[in-house]
Amino acid sequence: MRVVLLGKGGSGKSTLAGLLCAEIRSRDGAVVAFDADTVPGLGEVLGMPATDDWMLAGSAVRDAGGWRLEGSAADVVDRCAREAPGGVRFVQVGNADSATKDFELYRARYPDRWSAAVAFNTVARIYDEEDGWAVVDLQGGTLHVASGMVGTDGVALLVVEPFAKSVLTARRMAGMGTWPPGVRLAGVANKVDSADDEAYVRDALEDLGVPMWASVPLDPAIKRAERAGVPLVAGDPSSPARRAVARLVDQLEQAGAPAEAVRGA
Amino acid sequence: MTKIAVAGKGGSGKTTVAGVLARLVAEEGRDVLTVDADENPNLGISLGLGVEATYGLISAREEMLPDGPAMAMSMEEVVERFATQAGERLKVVQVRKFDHFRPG
Repeated sequence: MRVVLLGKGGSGKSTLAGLLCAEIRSRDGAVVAFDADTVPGLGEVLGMPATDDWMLAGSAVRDAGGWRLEGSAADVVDRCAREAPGGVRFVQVGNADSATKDFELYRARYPDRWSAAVAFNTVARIYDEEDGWAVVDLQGGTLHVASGMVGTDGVALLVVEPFAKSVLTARRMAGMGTWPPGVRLAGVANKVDSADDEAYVRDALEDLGVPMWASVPLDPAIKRAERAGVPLVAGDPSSPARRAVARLVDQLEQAGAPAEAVRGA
Repeated sequence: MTKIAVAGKGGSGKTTVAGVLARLVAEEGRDVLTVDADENPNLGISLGLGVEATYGLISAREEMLPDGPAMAMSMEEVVERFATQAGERLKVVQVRKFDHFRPG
């Protein structure tokens, strides 16, 4: 099952990715979490020591035909993923938030990072786990969606806060053009603080033709855990946000049934 | 001219701060040019343009093709051509947006 999180910056993609991983692990599911943001943050959510590493360095090689992956996506993940607390396997693209932000301009100078970024983007676009989960946390905003990082299969969770800017971002994303037929686009209302909040996001998603699969409440436990550096896998499974994510995982599991069965639903 | 850049993590409130700041300065009687440099531009909402007008803003960079005549524009010409009035003494230039699937 492949799940990709997209939405405006700060809408809560990484937090939801962490909660999804926590819930999946509590059900003994296997999960690989990908942080596609070049200002990485998912690792901290998962309880990893902060690292700027380009974890997939050397996983893409260049030959006459251009860049290609060294081995299959599964090989690369097996080679490069690091184990986070609770048994989540974790991969991040790396941190470009430094003086070398524009390393794209200096491919020759930073071949290891370029290789890592190429490999990461390739793997994160196609990786799936037949008997487990791939959770892909995209960079906030529309760039990753426009450039096809969602991939061609699985569920794309559009994370929307009850704010006009978040809804406008969702509108741009849903309206990017023809979505790949193998991708199911579903909305998640996040940081919901009232019935009005939920109705606002639900109506906005309905206007976009996107079903709302979950409404995750604004949960003070999330902020407390984040400040204290407690990974979400170690968080309280009965907290309101976690319970909402548990229901979302139920829904995702149903969606993981053969495509024909769910498309008709 | 005073130039102010607003930076921070996604969702921290850069756009809201920028929008409110720009309006307050404009209300004091100064001319303000705001630049939305986010590839997912929402500043129009915080400036009070409204969602539809914000959604419909053109992006300067998309209009300025490489080798095109736009590259020879002065800053004044860029503002002249691409700025949208967002209030008295208040203009906004949107740099770019990614709102279509693009190959590669």
